Amino acid sequence: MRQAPVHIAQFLLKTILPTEDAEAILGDIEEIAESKSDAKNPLHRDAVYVYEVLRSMPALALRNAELALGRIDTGHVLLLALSIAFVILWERGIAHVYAWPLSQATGDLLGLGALHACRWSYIFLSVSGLIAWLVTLRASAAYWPVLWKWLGTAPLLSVLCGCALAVYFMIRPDPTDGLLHRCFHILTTVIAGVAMYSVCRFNPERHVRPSDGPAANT
Amino acid sequence: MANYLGEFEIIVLAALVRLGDDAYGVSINDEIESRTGRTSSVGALYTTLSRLSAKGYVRSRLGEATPQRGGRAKKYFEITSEGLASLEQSARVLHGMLGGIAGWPQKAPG
Repeated sequence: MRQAPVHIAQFLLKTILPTEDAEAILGDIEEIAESKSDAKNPLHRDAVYVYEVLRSMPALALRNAELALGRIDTGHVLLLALSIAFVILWERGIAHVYAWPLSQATGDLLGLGALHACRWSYIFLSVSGLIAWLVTLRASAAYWPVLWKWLGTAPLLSVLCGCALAVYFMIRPDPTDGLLHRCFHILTTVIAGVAMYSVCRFNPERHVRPSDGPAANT
Repeated sequence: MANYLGEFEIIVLAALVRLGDDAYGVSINDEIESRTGRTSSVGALYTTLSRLSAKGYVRSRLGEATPQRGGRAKKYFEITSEGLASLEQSARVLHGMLGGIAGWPQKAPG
């Protein structure tokens, strides 16, 4: 029976590299661990196994980044910007407008104080923002299958991204007014406009996976 | 534009040529270690093989799964004719630079 660190190492490797290569790599590492370790000592074998997985991590992370980033061009970057802009617009234009009145009404109805109403508001903002983020990311998947596959098959990273966004919505101060707020709106509008332009010009025929062979570089 | 090979790419391609049909992760690493004394991680090897595959210099196929590998299949790699041409080109470039320096090999490759 394998030790927990082995399973954790396997999980981490498959998270970093969610492709068919992960199985081949794990098989190779298994073979190395069998040959290099003391056959009578499973603990030693597992230690070699975990060491080899950890040793492979940096290069695999780099490779995964290459697979995703290698396909990025201006259109892709701006598509991501569009997603972010959509989330910001959603949060500020829709959720923020409806969240406060809804939370206040709920708070008044239930006899809750301002603090409770504020908490309900931010929970609403977090959930709606997260949904908007996921929907836009999924919508952009038609143009960016590698990233979507990566996020979709790398649960740890997806959860971390989602948590980071939720924490942002939970802890950020209330930017109801001020110079920063206005600058944010202007910046969002500019990003959204440029992103829409890039979407209109985007040609999916030009984008193939690096693993598709030499034609990928043409 | 010429697609130049990096040092480790040259080593990996040369190992593929030497190993022929039996080139997979472990055997390639063993070959490199025995001939150069250089130890690399499996991840580093697959990263390089992936780059070479993207350039069209290497092709792969899945092999048999064995109990020794935890029931996982081997992934065999094979150099393509483009890869071989690029390896020869790199060898010529290296020889052009190193040839004539006292103490270096004088025989031209290929």
